[in-house]
Amino acid sequence: MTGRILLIDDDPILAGLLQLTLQLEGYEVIIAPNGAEGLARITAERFDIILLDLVMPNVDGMKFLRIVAERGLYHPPVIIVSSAIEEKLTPAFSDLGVVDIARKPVEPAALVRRVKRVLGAAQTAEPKA
Amino acid sequence: MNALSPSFAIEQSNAKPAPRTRKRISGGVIRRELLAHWLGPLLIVAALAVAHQIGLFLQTDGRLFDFATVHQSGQSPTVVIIERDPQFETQDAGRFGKLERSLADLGTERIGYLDADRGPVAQSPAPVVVAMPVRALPRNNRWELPSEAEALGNARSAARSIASSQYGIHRTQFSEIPGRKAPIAVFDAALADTFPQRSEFLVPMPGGQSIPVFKASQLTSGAMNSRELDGIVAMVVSPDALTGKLNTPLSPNEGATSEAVFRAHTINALRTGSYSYRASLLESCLVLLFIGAFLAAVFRKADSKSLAVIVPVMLSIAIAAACWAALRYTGLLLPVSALMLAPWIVTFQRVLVRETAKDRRLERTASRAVQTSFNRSALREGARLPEFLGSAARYAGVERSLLIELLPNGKLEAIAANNASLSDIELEPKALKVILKELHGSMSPRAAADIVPGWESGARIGWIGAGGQNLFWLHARPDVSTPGKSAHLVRAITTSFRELFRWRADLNARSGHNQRTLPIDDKVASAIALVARESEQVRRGFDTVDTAVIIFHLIGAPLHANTAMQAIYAEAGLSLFETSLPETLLALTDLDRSQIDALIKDLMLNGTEVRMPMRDIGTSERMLRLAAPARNANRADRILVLEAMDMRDANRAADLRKAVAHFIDLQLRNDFEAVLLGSQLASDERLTAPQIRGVVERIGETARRATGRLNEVAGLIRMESRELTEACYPVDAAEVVKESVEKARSLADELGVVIEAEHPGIGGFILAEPNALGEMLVAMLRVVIADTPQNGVVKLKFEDRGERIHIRISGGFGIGFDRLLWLLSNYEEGAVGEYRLIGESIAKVTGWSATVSYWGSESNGFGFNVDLRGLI
Repeated sequence: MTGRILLIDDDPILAGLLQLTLQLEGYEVIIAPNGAEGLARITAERFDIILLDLVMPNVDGMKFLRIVAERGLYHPPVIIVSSAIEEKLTPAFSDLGVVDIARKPVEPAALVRRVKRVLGAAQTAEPKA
Repeated sequence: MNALSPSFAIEQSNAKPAPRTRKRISGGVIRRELLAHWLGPLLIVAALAVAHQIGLFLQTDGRLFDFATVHQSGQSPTVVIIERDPQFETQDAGRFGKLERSLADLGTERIGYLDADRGPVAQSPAPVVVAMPVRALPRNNRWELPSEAEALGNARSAARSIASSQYGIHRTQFSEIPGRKAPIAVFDAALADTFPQRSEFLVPMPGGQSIPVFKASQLTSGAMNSRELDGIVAMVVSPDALTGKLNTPLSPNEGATSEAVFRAHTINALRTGSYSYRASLLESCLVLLFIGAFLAAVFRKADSKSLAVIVPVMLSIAIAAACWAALRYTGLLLPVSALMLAPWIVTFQRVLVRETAKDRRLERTASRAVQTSFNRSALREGARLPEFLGSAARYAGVERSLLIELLPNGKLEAIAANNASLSDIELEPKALKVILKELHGSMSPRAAADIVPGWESGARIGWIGAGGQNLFWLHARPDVSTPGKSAHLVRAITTSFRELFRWRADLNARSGHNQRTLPIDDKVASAIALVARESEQVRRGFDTVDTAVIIFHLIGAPLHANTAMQAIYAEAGLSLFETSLPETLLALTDLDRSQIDALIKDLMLNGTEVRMPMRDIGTSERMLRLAAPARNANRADRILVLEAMDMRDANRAADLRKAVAHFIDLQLRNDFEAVLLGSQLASDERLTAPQIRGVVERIGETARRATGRLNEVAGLIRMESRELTEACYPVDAAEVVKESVEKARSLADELGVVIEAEHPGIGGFILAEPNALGEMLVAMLRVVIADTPQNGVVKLKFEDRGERIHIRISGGFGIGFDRLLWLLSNYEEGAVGEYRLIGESIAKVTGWSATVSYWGSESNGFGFNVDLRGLI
C-alpha cells in the first residue's frame, strides 16, 4: 500500500521513529515540526493522510485544524496522535476533518492498522476536489 | 399515738419528716457559724473578764475612776474635822465633855474620835464613835478590837482601818471588817452610820469638795453660832492625823492627803450616797459578753478590715460614755479597761482571722498556679539550673565560666564549671570574701581580672542570688565577633537566672526553715511573675505559628488568640474577646446557627474535630478546624481550639503534584512512546544495520531527555509544602492565562470593557509559580481594563514559541511611560494596589528566567509583555 503522509509533530525523535515505522510499510512520510509548517505543506503539496500532534509551539494542532477549516483548504483525513486528549472522537473534531484519535503511546502496529484503515476508507470514497 | 384521732394520725403519716441531711447540714452550718464568727470574740471577752477579775486592770480602772471623780464638783460638806489643837489639849480633863456639848449645841449629829484617847465623858449629848486600832487574829483573816473598847461606856467603838492602797493610791475603803464573831464596823461607816451593801466601796474625792476644819479650842470657847453644824458629823482628830501621808486621787504622787481628809471624803461619800462599787464578776461578764456579741454581729455582716478603725473608735467612745453614766447615776464602776480593750482586740482578731483566711485561700488558689508554673518551668530542674547557666553562657560566646557558692562557713565551692576551676582563682581568700560580700545583693557585676588574672579575655563576676544560697558567677568576656550583643545577652542571662533562683527560693519557701515564714504574698508574687513571664513567652511562641489559632473555653468564651487569628478577626470585623464561638463560626462560615449548635454539641460530647470551609476573607483560602482536645475531654477546663488553616500551601502543593503529573503525562509520554516505538522498531527484521543504529541512537537520546525532565521535577517533588511559596515548577501556561482572564472579566464587565483573549486551548509548559503568575496577569489585566474607556478593548495575546512563551496584554487610554515606570519601580514606596503587585511580581519572575517589559504613552494605550521560559 502506498500513500503520502504528513506527520505534524514537534518532537523530532518521535516523529523520526514514526516516520521510519510508516516508511517500513511503504508510505512516504513528510515531517512538519509545527502547525505553521504543516499549513504551508498542505497548501503546496497533496497528502493522503495527516498525522497531527496537538501540543506544539507556535501553531498548535487545534489551531491548525481551525485555520484549515476557516481557510477552506483541501485536507486529507486527519488522525490525531497526541497524549493531551481522551481517546474518543468528539463532534468538534469530526467537523474539523478528524477521523481517528490515537492516544500516545501508540503501538506501531496499531498505528499502521489505523493508517491503513483510514487510507482504505479514503480510497473507496469519492475523492474530494 | 393511740390517743390521737385517725385524721391526725393520717396527717402525721403523710407529713414529710424533715430530711436528716438537712438537720446535719443545719448543725454543721451552726457549728461553722459559731466557729467562724462568734467563738473568737466570745473567747476574747471571756479572757478580758478573767483578766479584769484577777486585777489586771485594777490600776487603769482606778485611774479612770479618779479621772471621773476628781473633776466632779463638790457638795455641801456633811462632815467637819475638829483638830485637837494644843490649846485644847492643855485644858483640863473635862475638855472632851465640853467639846461634845459644844458640838451638840451646834447641831452636830454624831461625833467621832479618830484617836482612842478620849477622856472620860459621863454622858455625851450626841452619839460618839471612837476609832480603835484592831488586832489581827492569828491563822485567819479576822480582826478584833482591843479590850479597852468595852470600857467606852455609851460611846461606840469602831476599827481604825483603811483599805490597802491600789498601786499606791488610796481610793477604796471598807465599811466593816471581819471580826471574831461578827463584823467590826470601820470608823468611817460607823461615824456616817451608813453601811453599804458591799463592804468595800470606792471613795469619790472631788477636788472641789470642801472639808471644813475647826480647832477644838475654837468650839469650846463658844466662838461658833448655834446650830452652825446642824446635821453634820464631826470627826475629832489629833494634829498628826491632819498631816499629809496618803497618796489619794487628790494627790496621787505627792502623799499629801491626810488620813483625816481621806476619812472625811469617805464619810461624806457614805452620807451622800456618792460612793461607788466595782462591778461584780457577773456584771463584768455580762457587759463584756454583750460587747463581744455586738462586735461579732457587726463583723459577721461587715468587712472587718474596712471597719477596723471606725468600729473600735466609735465603740470606745460609746463605752466611755456608758461607763461614765453608770458611775455617775448608779455608782457602778464597770470594767472600763476591759470594755475599752474589747473592741480593739476583737477587731484585731477579726482582721487577723480574715487575713489568715484570705492568705489560706490565696495560697490554696495560688498553689495550682505555683505548681503549674513550677513544674512547667526550668525551676523544676533546680539542681540543673547551674548547668543551664553554663550552656546558656556558651551560646553567648562565654568560653570560661565558674559558678561558685560562698558557704556559711566562709569556704568556696564550685557549683558548675566550664573550662574553669576553683584553682583559677588566685586572689587571696580574705580579699575575695570582701569582694563577694560587697557584691552580695548587687545587680551590677564587677571586673574580675584581679580574681582570675590567668583568664586572657578579661573576666567579670556578679551575684546571682539563689535564695538560701549565695551564688556568684565568674565568667570570661564573650569571645565573639559581636561582643556588644553578646555582652547584652550575658546581662540578660544573668538577670534571668537571678530571677529564676529567686523564684525558686520563693516557691520552695516551705522546704527551708529559714524561709518558712515567707509571706504568702511574696510566694504569690513570685508565682504570678513566673506565670506571667511564661504566658508571655508562650504567647510570643504561639504567635510565630503559621496557622491562625484561637482557644475557647468550654462555655464558648474566647481565651487566647494568636496574632494570625487576631488579624482574621480584624479582617472579618469581629471583636476578638467579645465574640463567642458560635458567633465566630456564624461569621466565618456558611453554616447556619442550628448547624453550628449541633456541631459544637457533638464536639463537646464526643471530642475529636470538625473541618469546614471558611468564608473568603482577604485573598486567603482557608479551612477552619474546630477541635476539642481529647486529653481534656473529661475535665472541667475543657477547651475548644479553632484553627484557620491557610489552604494556599496545601493548594500549592496540590497544584504542584497536579502540574508534575500533567507534565509527566504529556511530556514524558512522548519520551516513553519514543522509547517504546524505537525498541519495537529495532527488533524489526526489515531494518538495515544503519537504520537500527539510528533507532538505537534516538532511543538513547530520548532516554537522556526523559532523565533530564525527571531531574527537573524531582527537586520539586521532594520539597515540603512550606518551601513551595516561591517555588516554580512546570505549569500549563494556557491554563493560567485562561483563569486569569476569567478573574479579570468581572471588572471588565463592570466597566463595559471587552477582553479579547487569544490563547490556545492547550498550551505549552512553562517554569513558573502559578499563583504568582496568575496574580500578576490578573493585576495587569485589571490596570489596563481600569484605564480603558467604556466599550474599549483590552487584548491578550498568547504565543507559544517553543522555548519561550510570550504573553502580551495591551489596551487602555494610555499612561505616560515615566509615570508607568515610577508606578512599577517604586512599589516599595508610593505605588498602591495592582501596580504594587505587578511591581513585586516583576521582581519575582526573574527567578523563573522570565522577563516582563512594558510600554505606554498617553492616549496611545499601554501594556505588558511577559516572556516565560517554555519547557520542551
